[in-house]
Amino acid sequence: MPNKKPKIAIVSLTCCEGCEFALLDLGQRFLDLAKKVDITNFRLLRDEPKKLGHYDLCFVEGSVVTAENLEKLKKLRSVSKQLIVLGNCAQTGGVHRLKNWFGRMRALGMVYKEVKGIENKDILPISEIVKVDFEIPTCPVNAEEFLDLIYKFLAGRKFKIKQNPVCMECQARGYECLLQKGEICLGPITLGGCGAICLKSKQGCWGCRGLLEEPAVKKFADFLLTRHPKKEVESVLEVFGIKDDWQGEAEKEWEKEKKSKALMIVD
Amino acid sequence: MKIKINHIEKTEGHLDFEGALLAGDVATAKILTTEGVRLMEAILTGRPFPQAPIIAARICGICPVVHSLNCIKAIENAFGFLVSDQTVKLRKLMEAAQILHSHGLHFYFLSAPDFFGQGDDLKFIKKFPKEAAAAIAVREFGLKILEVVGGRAVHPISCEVGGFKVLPEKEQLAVLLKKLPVVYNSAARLVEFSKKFSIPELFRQTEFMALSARTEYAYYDGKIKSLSGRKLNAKKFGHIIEELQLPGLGAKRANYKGKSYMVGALARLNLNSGKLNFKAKAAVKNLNLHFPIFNSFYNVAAQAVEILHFTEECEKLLMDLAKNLRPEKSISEKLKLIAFANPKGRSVWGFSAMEAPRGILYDAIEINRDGIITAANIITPTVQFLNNLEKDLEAYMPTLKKISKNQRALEIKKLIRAYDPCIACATH
Repeated sequence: MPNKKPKIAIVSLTCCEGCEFALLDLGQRFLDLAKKVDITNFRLLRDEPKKLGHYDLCFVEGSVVTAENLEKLKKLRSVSKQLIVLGNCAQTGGVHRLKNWFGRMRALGMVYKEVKGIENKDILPISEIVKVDFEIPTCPVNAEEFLDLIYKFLAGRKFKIKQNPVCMECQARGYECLLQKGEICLGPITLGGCGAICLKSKQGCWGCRGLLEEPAVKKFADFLLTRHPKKEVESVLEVFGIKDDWQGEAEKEWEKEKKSKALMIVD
Repeated sequence: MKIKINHIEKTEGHLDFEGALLAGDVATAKILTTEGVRLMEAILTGRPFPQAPIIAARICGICPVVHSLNCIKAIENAFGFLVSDQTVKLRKLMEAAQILHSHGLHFYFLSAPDFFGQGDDLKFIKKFPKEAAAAIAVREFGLKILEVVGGRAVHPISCEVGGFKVLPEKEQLAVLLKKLPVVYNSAARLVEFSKKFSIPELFRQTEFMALSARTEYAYYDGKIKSLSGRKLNAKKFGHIIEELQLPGLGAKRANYKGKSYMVGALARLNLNSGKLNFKAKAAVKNLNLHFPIFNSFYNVAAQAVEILHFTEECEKLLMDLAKNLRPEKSISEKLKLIAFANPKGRSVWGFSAMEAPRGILYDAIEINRDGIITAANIITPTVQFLNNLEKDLEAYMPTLKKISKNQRALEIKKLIRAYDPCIACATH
């Protein structure tokens, strides 16, 4: 009898592998899942297959830092029906994307005396390298969303994260509002689904789930700037890569301004 | 005869093996770490100090607790903060819980199958389901503690410089205590299971280093002791340990007095077995272990003993905290320490060492007068034992001459995995 269980791969590139552990930490529930699908590639649990493919769902964790990472990612894309990025490193670049702002060669020189031969690519979101079908955000992932995606797939339904801000989940749980307390928290512009887990521990949200659709980043950053020094706001926006969106939006606004000025001159 | 093994699985992070069997009893062995560099020390530089523990935790997905706590301890050392006894107890509880879940995973899922010649965990689980359930129960206990005390198991949130942002509720701790009978049974089952492992013959005299203290089996604080009898504080340890770089490899190495040394569960037991808790001591007798042991395969048995020891440790701490926990503000909150502040008002260095599941973790951090990190150095356990692992492989490989190629590759992987290497940590 042919095996009709969907084939699944969970593969890591350069990262801390915390997302894979978050999945393993499901314990028995993970093993139950392993009965319903065929987890053919998961190096934490079994010998790696000699050849990659074909996968119905391929989960990729981590970022591309080496040529081997890049080659593997492209290969995985070509043998997978759907490629899903798992966690913040794959989605936006993770904390190590900080080196892009820091200067990647400067960073390399700080850690290694002999930098020759050490690969050190700029960090990009996976979606800028290959086509991505779904994204499961967060650092580390919320394993419930991983289960949800697979069980929906088994039922022939599509996985979608509701466009609610972290703020909504925070308020619903009655946690103390850190913005009101005077701290920096990106809850209003960050995509919810984490259950405001950081706010539960009185840690402001730094946006590791990425932004809501059409977020008012610049407006919100401007609001933060009325209460905090620029370097503080900027440094928080950097950790999980929100600064890029902020700068992007600021640039767009600037362009718009330029255009409207140009129009005025034409008028 | 050349031997090359690519993509060694069931380890944290990516590595290859390259070696050769030469004439006589001579072998060469190289661990080639293929993990990409994330330059964590560089990206810590320029960040305000409260961000450091959050970023440092991301060095490793299985031992984020110790990376976060040791970074915090180094910053506290720089600022001259003395945290409350309660904070120390809560942190110890977190670290003990982390060792439990990390060992539970490594002992049963990553290493044990090797001693039964099984490569596929999902099949191994079918063969030893009760032991799998025991490993999962131990892990879940550790994870639950971290959820309650740290806010989350992977990359915990609640700890900060000077204490905790939020404290757990007494009732939550009391609920955890109720799980103990199951966890003790599970831990005992894993200890028994380790008897079934056929541990290969290997003997190589080497240096062992671990944190040690007069009054307890040290893992949060203490001096770093070597089997040869030397005692060092964290700052001195950082000076004496020689960090080396191999051309083109992201993971550094470390030597002590020009030689390789071993850290981790076996090192801790070799140095501190006399300080083990009651049941763990009995387990040592039961397993007929006589320390010091110079066979690194015993690292796996040592982890089984530690699973029992740290279950007892969790019980002690939980009993105490469930009764005596009181509301308390962290020093950061008391001093209203914001991102760009340094209570010392001048540039300072801080040092700290803690026992991670895989051995000594060392952090050194420099903070300038504005509270910004200006330099950082982190030496992880795997960095420290990689050279020793290679030396052990060179000693072990000549005994593998007469077996098939596949069998030989399995034996090499068995020894590598018995060390429980974390290449993500090593490369960071």
